[in-house]
Amino acid sequence: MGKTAGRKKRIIITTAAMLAIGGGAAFAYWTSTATTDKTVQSTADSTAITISVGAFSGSQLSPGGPAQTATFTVANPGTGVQKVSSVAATILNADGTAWAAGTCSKDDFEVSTTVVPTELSAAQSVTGTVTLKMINRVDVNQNDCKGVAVPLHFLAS
Amino acid sequence: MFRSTSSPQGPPRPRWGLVLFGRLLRGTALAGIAFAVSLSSGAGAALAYWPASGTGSATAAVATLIPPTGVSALVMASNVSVSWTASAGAVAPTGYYVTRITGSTSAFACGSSPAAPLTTTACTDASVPVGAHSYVVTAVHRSWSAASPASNSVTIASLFELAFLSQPPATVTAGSTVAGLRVQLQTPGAGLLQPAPLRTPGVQVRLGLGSHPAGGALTGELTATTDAFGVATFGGLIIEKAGIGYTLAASSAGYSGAVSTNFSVTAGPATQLVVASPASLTGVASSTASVGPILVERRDAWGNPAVGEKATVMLSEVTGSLSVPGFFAVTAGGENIVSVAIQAGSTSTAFYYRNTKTGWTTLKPSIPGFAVPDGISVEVRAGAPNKLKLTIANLPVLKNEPFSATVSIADAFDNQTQSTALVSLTSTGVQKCRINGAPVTLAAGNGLVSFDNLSHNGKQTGCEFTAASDGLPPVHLIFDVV
Repeated sequence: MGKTAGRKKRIIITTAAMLAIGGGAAFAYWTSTATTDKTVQSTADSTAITISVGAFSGSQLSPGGPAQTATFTVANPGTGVQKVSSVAATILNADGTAWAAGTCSKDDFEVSTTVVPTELSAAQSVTGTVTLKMINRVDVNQNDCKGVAVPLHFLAS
Repeated sequence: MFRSTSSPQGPPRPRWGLVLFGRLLRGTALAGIAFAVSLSSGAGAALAYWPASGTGSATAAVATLIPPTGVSALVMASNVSVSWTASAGAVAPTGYYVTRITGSTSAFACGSSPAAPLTTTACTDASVPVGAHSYVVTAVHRSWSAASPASNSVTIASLFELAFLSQPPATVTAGSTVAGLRVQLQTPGAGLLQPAPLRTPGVQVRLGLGSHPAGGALTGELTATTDAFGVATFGGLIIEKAGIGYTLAASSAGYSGAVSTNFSVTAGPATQLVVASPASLTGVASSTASVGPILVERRDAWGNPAVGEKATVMLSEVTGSLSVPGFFAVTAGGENIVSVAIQAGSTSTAFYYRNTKTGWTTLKPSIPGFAVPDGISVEVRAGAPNKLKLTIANLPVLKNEPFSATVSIADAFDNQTQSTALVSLTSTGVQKCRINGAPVTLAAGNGLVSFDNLSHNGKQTGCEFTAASDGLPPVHLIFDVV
């Protein structure tokens, strides 16, 4: 009886250890995260995807004027399959801080993106569209927005 | 069970080393199976793909509005002709407004203003007062504006000019009539030579606002003709918007204009009570007054905030979808009140509201004898999730009949919340009570979740459900199956 119990203990301990190892590996796969400036990956296979943005087309922005659009490409340079659920574009400085030029800020613009959620195989890519529009804010002086360059930060997840 | 020793008489038995190897092999196999199962179940999705992440950046250019250039002013008798070159660039102005600069003061000219821009590139500033002036032209495109540099300076030294024989009172009551305002034609003085009346009848003189606060407007007899003494008399002039810094401007073709002295317009007597702010309000069900502050203001007939004697504002409501009326307080969390005072010399006061039930209501502050205000619409929403409420619609439960249990996530005052939290339902009664369909976990929708198609296949007393959700105390319900 005592030997049986010992054998069960070994099985349980071995199973627990392997589960811990396996579970740890699984946990590592699911904790891929990205910050504004740096992408942190937990495994060598989960290489950060890249986002390249083309030039904006259309007239330059003005209050209540037409929107500008640009095409961006989300590519998977890694060797594994990566899922792209969404791509968010935000008006931010390159260091992730809030952008403003005098009294002109993100509140003076509308930005939206469209991309079809997809799973990217190795070396595959998908394209999306970003649209930027300047809002005409009635009774608000938007003169500080004249002639500025609006920085857009993209985050795919 | 293997024996620990062997002997020639004993039955053949495996060697101990082989036994250990066999046990190790079986143990490892079991562990391996368990590992495979764990991977296939828990980490299976992780093997399908990695959640991707990555960043990128871009910039977009904003256009600009270029100011007009080449602003030029040219004197033509008592008028000034102003012209400019239109703004260049991709953004075309929707119009321009012209400002006349005289010393340190400025005034809109050519009948233009930010709200009424010109679409031309030239205008005439008529009947300009004597003195040196320059002009600035400002391009307008929606919320953008771009002002030009000042024009050349021009000097008006007309042979004839207008002068106010009588000035408006220093203070005028909103909506009241200013009468008897007189403007005379005269020759300008020069050096020791005093201005002399110009007795020319039949000259049309126009009166308008010079400086004025936003929204101010002048109505009444704005045009008068000079009499035999060269005097134009204006009557029935009315300004409805209270404010300070008003001036009147007289003008006539061929004459330098005149500007009156400053005067103020004060509010008339209070005749109405209005909810000044906010336009509508949303609050949370509470036993303390937290919805507010709601500012009520007494105003004159033209909407100007008006002072007066101390007045009592009665507080009431017309409950819409609210099941019970609420309570008022002077301050947040204050004692219940039914009225609030506007002190003598003040124009307004404020109050708060509370209700423990959710729904819509319209608050109706009023002062006896005043016009009845529209009131303010208030929405009371449920507070934070505080408790679970577990019910079974039809008790007792019938054996072999499907039944449903409903769990609502309520706030502290039993109002159903908008929570979407997960709620689990577990059978926790006597062991023989095994409910088909439980345990089960579902997400609530708008604070409500229904567990359907539950059943028990025999009669049983002492059944119990326990509903649980993270952060809230579990709730139990004992029932019988008959």
